[in-house]
Amino acid sequence: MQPSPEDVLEEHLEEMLQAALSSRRTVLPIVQILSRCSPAQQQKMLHWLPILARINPELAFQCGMRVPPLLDQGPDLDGWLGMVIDRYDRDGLQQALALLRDGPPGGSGRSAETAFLAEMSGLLHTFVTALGGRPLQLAEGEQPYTDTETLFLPAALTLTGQRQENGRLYHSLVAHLWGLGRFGTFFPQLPQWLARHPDPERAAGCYLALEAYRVDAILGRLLPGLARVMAPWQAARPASAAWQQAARALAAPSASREESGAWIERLYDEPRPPPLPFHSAPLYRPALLALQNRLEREKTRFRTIVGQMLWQREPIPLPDPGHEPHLEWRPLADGLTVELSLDGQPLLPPQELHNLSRSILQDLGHIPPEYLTASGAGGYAVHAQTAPAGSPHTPAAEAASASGIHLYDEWDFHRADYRKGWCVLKECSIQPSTEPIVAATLEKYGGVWQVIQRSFALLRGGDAWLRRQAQGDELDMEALVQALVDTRIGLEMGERLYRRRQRYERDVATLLLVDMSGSTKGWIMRAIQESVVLLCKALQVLGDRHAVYGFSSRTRKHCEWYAIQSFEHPDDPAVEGRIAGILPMEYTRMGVFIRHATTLLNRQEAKTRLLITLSDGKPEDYDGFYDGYRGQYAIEDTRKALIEARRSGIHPFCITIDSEARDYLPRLYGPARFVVLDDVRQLPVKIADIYRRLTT
Amino acid sequence: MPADTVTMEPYRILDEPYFEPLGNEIDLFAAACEHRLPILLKGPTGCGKSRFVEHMAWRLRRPLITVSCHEDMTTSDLVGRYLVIGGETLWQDGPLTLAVRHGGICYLDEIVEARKDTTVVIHPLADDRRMLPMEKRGTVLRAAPEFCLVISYNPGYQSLLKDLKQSTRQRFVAMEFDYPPARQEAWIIHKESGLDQERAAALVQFAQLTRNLKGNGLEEGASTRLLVHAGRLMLAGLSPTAACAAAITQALTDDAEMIAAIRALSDSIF
Ligand SMILES: Nc1ncnc2c1ncn2[C@@H]1O[C@H](COP(=O)(O)OP(=O)(O)O)[C@@H](O)[C@H]1O
Ligand SMILES: [Mg+2]
Repeated sequence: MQPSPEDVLEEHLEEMLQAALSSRRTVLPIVQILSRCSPAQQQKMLHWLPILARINPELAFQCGMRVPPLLDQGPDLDGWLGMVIDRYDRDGLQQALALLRDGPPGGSGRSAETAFLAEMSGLLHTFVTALGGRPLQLAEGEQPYTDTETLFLPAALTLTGQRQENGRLYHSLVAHLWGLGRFGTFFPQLPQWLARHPDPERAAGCYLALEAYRVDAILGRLLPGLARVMAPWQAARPASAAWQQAARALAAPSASREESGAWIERLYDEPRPPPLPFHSAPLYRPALLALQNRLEREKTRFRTIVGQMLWQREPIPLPDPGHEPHLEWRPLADGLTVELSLDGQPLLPPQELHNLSRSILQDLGHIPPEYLTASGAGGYAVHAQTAPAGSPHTPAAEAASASGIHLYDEWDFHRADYRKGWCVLKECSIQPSTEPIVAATLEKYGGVWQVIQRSFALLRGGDAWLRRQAQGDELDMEALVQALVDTRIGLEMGERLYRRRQRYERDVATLLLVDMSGSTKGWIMRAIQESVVLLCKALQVLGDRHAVYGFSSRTRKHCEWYAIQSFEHPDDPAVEGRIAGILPMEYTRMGVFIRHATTLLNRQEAKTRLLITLSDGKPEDYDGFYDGYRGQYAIEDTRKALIEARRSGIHPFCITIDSEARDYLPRLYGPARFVVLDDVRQLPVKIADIYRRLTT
Repeated sequence: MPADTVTMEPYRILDEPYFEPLGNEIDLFAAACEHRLPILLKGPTGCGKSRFVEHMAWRLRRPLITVSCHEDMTTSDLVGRYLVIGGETLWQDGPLTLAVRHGGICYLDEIVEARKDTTVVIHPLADDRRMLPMEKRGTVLRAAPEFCLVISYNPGYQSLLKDLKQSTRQRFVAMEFDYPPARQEAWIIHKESGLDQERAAALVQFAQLTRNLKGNGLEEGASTRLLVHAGRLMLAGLSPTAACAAAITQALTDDAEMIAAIRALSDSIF
């Protein structure tokens, strides 16, 4: 039997789009759409889809869903899809999808006014953090809603003709979704409430619309500036007299969710006012699910930490069978933090417990007694917890790091969130080489080395006496004698008679991070090795504490970290062998290595902590996961890691060898200072000088 | 007039410095002074520690000598040094010695900023002995009864207490300061800047948002001091957004993304 054309098409598409499919997502809708197209149009799609699929399967899939209806609209479909691909290369998937959704120019042509989540997520995340309460994540979603842990937001907003206004609507939406979680719209008994009505789903819709009024009113009082953005929408919203009455009642500062619940009955059969653009979709199940999980999880964790606190008390209390420790809590003024006391003595809880109680109070309004009392025979037994990978203080992570393996998060700009414990960094050692690279380098760069020695010796730390000062710690005898002589011979006596001790303490710790990826093969590697030699020698002259590490990666599970020189052993004779043994390896997953370097540097007590990266070109790694560590993903993760480093007090500085002065560098290194050398041969000549200028 | 009185005259505070008490801090400070115990004020910058000490000095009628500690400060800057004037060598007391000798409050502000080898001199002053070793003169000075040592530090940075000997550290009466509760903070801004209470309350609302960013991109949120500054700018006719940007945001961060985010916060308040 001949397979039908649809079957052929389906098989063909399946092969092409495989990576974007799942058990819930098949090519069938695309097949249906395409089978309604003319053969010429089908031809056109079958030309474009494989091209797009090679670039990004998701992009191809979305194209298959959206483009066919547009096929006979404009002649310049090719030009437009080209733009989509350009956008993808430059700004990544989300931006490309947003462009795709906007349609070809001339169609609706609204993209100039559009506010994009991808561009605003950093801003919005800071915004929602500032609003306070439980930490929240942002993610893209088909419709806006919250599960009380993540706010799901549309990828783009085009509600008004002004981009800035659309941006402010994003803020309003974030504030509203935050408000639902913060002011108690979702709570464990909600399903029982709704079940009192004939149709719980209908009641839910009603309840959520009422809650939207209540939360908007709270936001109006809290954020008057945003209220001005929301006001015109609210004023233009049609609502029946009964709904208007409810809205007025719920606007009172004393209004509660109970009051919203009480209104359901009266408004049950009334037509509901349409939701506003900054309102949530009428969903409550995701929030309840998250709530249930969280209550369980946080209760366990809360009791674990309380148990640990009891154990860590000093002096450890003698076991007293007649006495149960008596824990109490008291809310503090802001309503979201508590003070804990044990047998009347205030406890100093760790930060995590603060965060937990904040979250628990937000859900329940109080800390239930069973959180605070000993349970059964075990008392405050510490249960083994499955540690979330990546959080450094968990026992699992501690065990891992003792074995030279470290887990690090990675920034996923698509989701504007970290992939938790995503990268596995392993400490490895370099096979040393016996080549006398130090002597060879110093000879080859004899002139440079002399200049380094001279200029760096001047910068050395130590004490120096400043003579002839107007004020100082001690008399400057020389100046004093001179002054006395001056007075004898009738001159005015000088006033600069002191000496003052000046500390030239160079309290600097420097970590040099060396790219050992395959692209450094040959020439570049040689220059890097020579530069490492020269810089290390220079730092020795200077007396700055320093460490050197190399890195190379092959997927997120194999991020290799090579010790060349550690902070702990400044005079390690094996360093030379390791520098000589540096070999080009595989890929360049910059983020994880910058994060590990940050960890190590932050353990150093120094006034100035300097992180210098030495690499050639783009961060890149080969990865199985969709889109891989390349393009904007890699750039954004590296950038994020540099921002983290800087925020922790480190000064990052990036040296790049790149002959093409690429335009992504300012974005990539934005948070750091950087230089680009277009000729690798400059590196050994310049590196010490770059360093000198950096630290003086 | 006795010599002491003349020396210390410039350090007396004659007009009452405005201080809005938030708890029992006034009584606690007075009691500690009475019992000759050194005092440690903990709290973020700009939350009223210095103002409090000024107020207490006025209230207890003791001279106040304030030293803002910094990294280049030497022991001589605290204890004193020899001067040569007209061919004669004269000893000049440093601020700490002045207070120890003549009696008075010596306030070492932001003490962690100073190097450890400078601040060791306070140890024997802080414990039972109440003595000041004066190495250069080869003598030890016993503190006058009215001497009171007050130090302040910002626990947000690092722990000074780590560096103090346990025996010394336990002698300090520790007082914790924080930003005042919203209502009082608005009142303070109103009193200090002259701004009306409604806009002062909005400034406090804004400050609380920035304080939630501590540890999430900001080292510190907006302090009471910065709010007072912003209040003055608003009173001078600047728009709230411009005043917040100039007096607060720029003082908190240089990070462009963060500046934009804080601007969005002030836009949503004003
Ligand atoms: N409780 C208070 N009473 C009066 N003014 C206060 C109070 N708290 C803060 N201020 C205001 O804040 C400003 C900064 O306080 P300051 O004492 O200099 O802070 P700190 O010494 O803690 O860094 C003061 O100049 C004053 O205007
Ligand atoms: Mg101060």
